[in-house]
Amino acid sequence: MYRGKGDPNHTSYLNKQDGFSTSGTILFYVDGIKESQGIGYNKTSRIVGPSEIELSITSESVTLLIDLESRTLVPHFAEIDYLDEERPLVIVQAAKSLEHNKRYAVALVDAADLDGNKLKPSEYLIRLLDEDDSRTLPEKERRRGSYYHNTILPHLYNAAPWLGDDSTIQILFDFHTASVDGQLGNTRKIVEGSVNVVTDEHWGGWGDHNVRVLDVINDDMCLENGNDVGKIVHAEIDVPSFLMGSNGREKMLNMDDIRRGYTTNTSPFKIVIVIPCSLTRGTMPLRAVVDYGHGFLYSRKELLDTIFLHKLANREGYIMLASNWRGMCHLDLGLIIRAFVAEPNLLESLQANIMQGYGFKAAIQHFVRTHLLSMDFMNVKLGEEDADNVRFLFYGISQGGILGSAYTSLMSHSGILDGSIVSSSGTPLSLLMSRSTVFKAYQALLLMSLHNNRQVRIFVSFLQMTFDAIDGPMVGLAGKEDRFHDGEFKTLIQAGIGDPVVTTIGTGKTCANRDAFKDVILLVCVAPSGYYTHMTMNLLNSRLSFHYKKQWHEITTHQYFQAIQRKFMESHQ
Amino acid sequence: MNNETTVCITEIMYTNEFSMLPKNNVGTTTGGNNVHWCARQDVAFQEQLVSFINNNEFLDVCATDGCIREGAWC
Repeated sequence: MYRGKGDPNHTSYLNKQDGFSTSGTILFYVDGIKESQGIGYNKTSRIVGPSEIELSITSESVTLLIDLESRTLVPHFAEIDYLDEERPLVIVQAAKSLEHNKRYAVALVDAADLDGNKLKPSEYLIRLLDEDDSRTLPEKERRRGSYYHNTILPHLYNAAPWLGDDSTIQILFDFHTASVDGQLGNTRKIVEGSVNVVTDEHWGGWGDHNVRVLDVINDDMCLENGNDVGKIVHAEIDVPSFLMGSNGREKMLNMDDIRRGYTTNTSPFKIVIVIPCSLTRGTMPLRAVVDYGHGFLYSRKELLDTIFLHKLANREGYIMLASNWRGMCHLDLGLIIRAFVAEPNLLESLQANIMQGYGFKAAIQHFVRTHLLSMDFMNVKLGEEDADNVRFLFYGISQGGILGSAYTSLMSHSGILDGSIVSSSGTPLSLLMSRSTVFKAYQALLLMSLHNNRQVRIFVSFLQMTFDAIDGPMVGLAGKEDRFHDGEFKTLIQAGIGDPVVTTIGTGKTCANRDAFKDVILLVCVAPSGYYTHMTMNLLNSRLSFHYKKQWHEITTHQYFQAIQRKFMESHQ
Repeated sequence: MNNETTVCITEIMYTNEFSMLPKNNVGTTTGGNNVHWCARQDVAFQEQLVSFINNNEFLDVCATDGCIREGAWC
């Protein structure tokens, strides 16, 4: 796909993964499907989009996603890709992220062209699906044909009993998803390792030896009319680092340290702390210390520019602080551009930096929780009663919410963070990217090394394999066995329907993935009607209360899917 | 099993902006809107945020159509 000068750099680091993405887009194409918009041969089935996911496991859908272990259909949606109208693709996206270390298959069945004739499968697929003909194929492909006949097709027909001898399979392929440890293990080890290091006696606690005040601004700021900020502290703190290499942002993970879950390396990390006038003047009790996660490729400076946060902090008695998202702040833009324009192998460093960024924030959070309020530069006087009531939370908006979902998932059992608020965010990135207004610039960068937008789409799909390790709900999913179940750590998710930067289709998927926490009850206050809202509700698959058309409803969408499936089973008996 | 609600999602519908969003998988080509910026400053969202931070409680701010806005003007 590379069209730049010289030899292409390869994303060979992806080969270290032991399976495909659990949340990436699945791509294929058959000539004629764009023109017919994916209508089925029977005129009633079709490509079902995100607003009718419930139909994706019925005979209404020409695309089928099959769980080859449970022999069931997986709710999903499909779309004709409009990123490259001349070189279209069909995108299939599971309604919620696929399970780890599991085998799935994708099928296109009985789709028609514009004239109503069945689309033709490739000659090769015809041979593969013909039991006799497939025996004449080379050994490796013969085994593949055998696997199709003996495993995939029986499972497909079991899961979709409306298919018969007259059905035409036009696309069929299978894949295996990555394991939990292969996909997310390093991220978890870095965060847990960082907390372990700073709580180890060898760390020596927090103090002058690892906390340096760079600047304090408190020159009668509260005297200015309408000013909400009483003091700003810029500080630099040494934190554990699992990175190695000295070439700017081109760091790599130190796998020896990660394997043993411990490091003696440190890195200076800057934070900014905003103390409102109500606290410097003592007119309000301190209620909370809130770590703010900044937006897309910006920096901790965003906290200083965000006036509504200052007013909120002043009114309610919050100390707010911010640090850069390592890997996704303004300092990382150069590496991202280089990766997109010519050196996609640098995405491994981007991933490593983001993983480490979560570790940096975890260490900082430990400092904030245990020592910040007693530092001399803070000059915050708390009685015992106040100190017991102070809450420590994370609040991230946009990218701050996307990365914050991952970070706070990892921190939810740490005991040093009480809860999180994620706003205007979503997942997965491969689903959200082309829908976002900020995508155009990155699309242009990618087109400097790729030939066309179909290749951009393929690249973005592969990119998800890089992002899986740092994408919020995926990280949460990995911990479903032991996290989020204590009922103490809570998450508030807020989103605006109509958001063109991070569309709420991703918010819906975030919620869908949250349902992995089986005992968690989701309180959903969705506004009535709407395309993405509908999808959000369809994606949710947990014990669910939702507010719709001025009434509270109690239902699980799993029950909903089952009811729909039962209805169609009955109609085809 | 703990039955306490641990995750809450709240969405505010911005009717005008939502109606202008493309219904396919490609972002708008006619420029953006203010939903991304206005949502975080919405009074209902801030009220819910404060309740969560101060009391660890999820406030239902959508009762009686409290989560519908004609447009994102902030």
